[in-house]
Amino acid sequence: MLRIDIQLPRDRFVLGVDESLATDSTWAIMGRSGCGKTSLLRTIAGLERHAKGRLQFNDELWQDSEKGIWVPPEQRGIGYIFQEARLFPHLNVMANLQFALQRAGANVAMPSLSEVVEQLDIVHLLGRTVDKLSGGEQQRVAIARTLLNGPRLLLMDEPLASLDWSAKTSILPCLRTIHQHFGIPVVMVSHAREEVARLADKLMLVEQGQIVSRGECRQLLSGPGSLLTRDDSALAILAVEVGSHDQEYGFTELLFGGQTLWVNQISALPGTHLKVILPAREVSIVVEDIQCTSIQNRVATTIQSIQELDSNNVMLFMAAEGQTLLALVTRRALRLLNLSVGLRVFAHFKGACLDVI
Amino acid sequence: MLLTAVWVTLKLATMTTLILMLLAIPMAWGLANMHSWPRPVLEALVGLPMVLPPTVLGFYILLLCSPNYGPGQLWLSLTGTTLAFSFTGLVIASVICSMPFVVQPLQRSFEQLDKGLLEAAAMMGAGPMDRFFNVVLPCTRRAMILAACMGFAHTVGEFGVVLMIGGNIPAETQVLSIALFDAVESQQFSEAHQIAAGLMVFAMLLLITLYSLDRKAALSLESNIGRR
Repeated sequence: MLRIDIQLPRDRFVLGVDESLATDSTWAIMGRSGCGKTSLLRTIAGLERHAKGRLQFNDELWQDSEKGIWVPPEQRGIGYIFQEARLFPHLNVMANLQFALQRAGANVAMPSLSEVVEQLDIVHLLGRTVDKLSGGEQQRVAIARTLLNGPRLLLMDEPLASLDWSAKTSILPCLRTIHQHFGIPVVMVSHAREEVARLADKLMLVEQGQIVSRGECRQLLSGPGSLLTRDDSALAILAVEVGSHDQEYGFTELLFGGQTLWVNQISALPGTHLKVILPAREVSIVVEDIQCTSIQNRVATTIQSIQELDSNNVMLFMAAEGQTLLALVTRRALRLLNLSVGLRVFAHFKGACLDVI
Repeated sequence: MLLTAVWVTLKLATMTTLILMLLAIPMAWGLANMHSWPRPVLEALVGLPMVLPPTVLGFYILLLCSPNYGPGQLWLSLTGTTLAFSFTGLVIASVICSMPFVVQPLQRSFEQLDKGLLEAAAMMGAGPMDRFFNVVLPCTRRAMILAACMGFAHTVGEFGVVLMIGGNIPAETQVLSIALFDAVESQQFSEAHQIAAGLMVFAMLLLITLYSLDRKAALSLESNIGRR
């Protein structure tokens, strides 16, 4: 359990957070830039010396301003993955990793060097100097370095923000395995929904230094009324089970309750439980059950609620198999199709826009 | 006589540089990390020798070194010798005079050092000393070399203060710059030529080394920033 009760004055607001985070989940903190989410992470790490209040990790007290207790960052046993890699320029890759190894805490579940190096695919980089690495390689080394330090809590501040798309796709799976594979509790900061959907179970939203809502990631990302469904990059996360693989056409069948979704073939075994990300803007609404369309994914749903976004667009919340789908449609379409709450409609979307996580 | 002057000069510059590095590194680190009002005052104190006529400085140091004042008195009671007109006095004066040339480049490089690296090191369990010796010093080694060279060169080039504190005692306090002055005064122009040309070549070589070092430092700094 990470118990946070801190105040930190910023330029335009006071960051004030009073929350308890269960350490068996991966937490994400989301919010606009400048909302105080990075300051919150830095305060937990002990990098914001001006923060007042109380911080407790399990039974260890890290900070208690009233009693004058303040444990310096180097004694907290926290791993921090920064937005930039922050590798030491005077050391090569291996020496950077050794810097962390030599100062590693006495963590029982310490991952081994070979394990981490393999997991992050940096074996071939070990002898290189740091400035010869690409951005993605640098960040992978930085993640390896942090893991080898044997942290008891891992903080990540937009670890993928400075990377290009290909580097992101190479690192995301690594980050995903940290919590599962190494069993380290994770708190991450992000503003990218896809990233959060992939990595986190629990979510907190920050606005002007305050936590405005917290809860299950899926619920907050796509639940009716959530702040994160009020713009055109909203997305839904669906829980599915791998059905079968269609070797002939290279498709995988995903069981979504009693219905089926088709995606480009993935390697997971039949019976595996997975999640898929479905962006609201990729979904189109069809009132009748049309079979003669090239679109393979047609889900029968019921409109649950309709939320206005702006003068042109509305967000439809649709229930299907006990889960929620989102669709971004224009007000014109809403009027022409006569869409209303309770109406049975079909959500159509291409398999290619589904992101399996 | 020329060789002894070379020897005294080298000995003085070497000792001064060593003492300066020991003093200036913590001073520069302290100044670079100080954000309260005494900072400009302390910076001005350190920088004073750059703008004052060497004679002003020499005059005050001479007073302090004389047996009539505290430090000189203390020295006399401890060692039985006077501080003024001794090699030790000369070292003290040189340290004060060359201080800004060592502190300032160090302070600048400490200020430019990416604090993110120190945060990263702290998060890996490195305490303040560990961070200083294993991150700060290796990351600023170019500035260290630069500062040491500046201190050495400036000590060799010092004239006014050295003349006032050291007097002109051959084999004890007579350094090259003063030996040159002496040679000219006594119209020994061939010796004067040797010393002058020698100092000229030394200064040229040192400055070329420094500037090429500086260029590299500047370039590596730029490329660091460019990557961000």
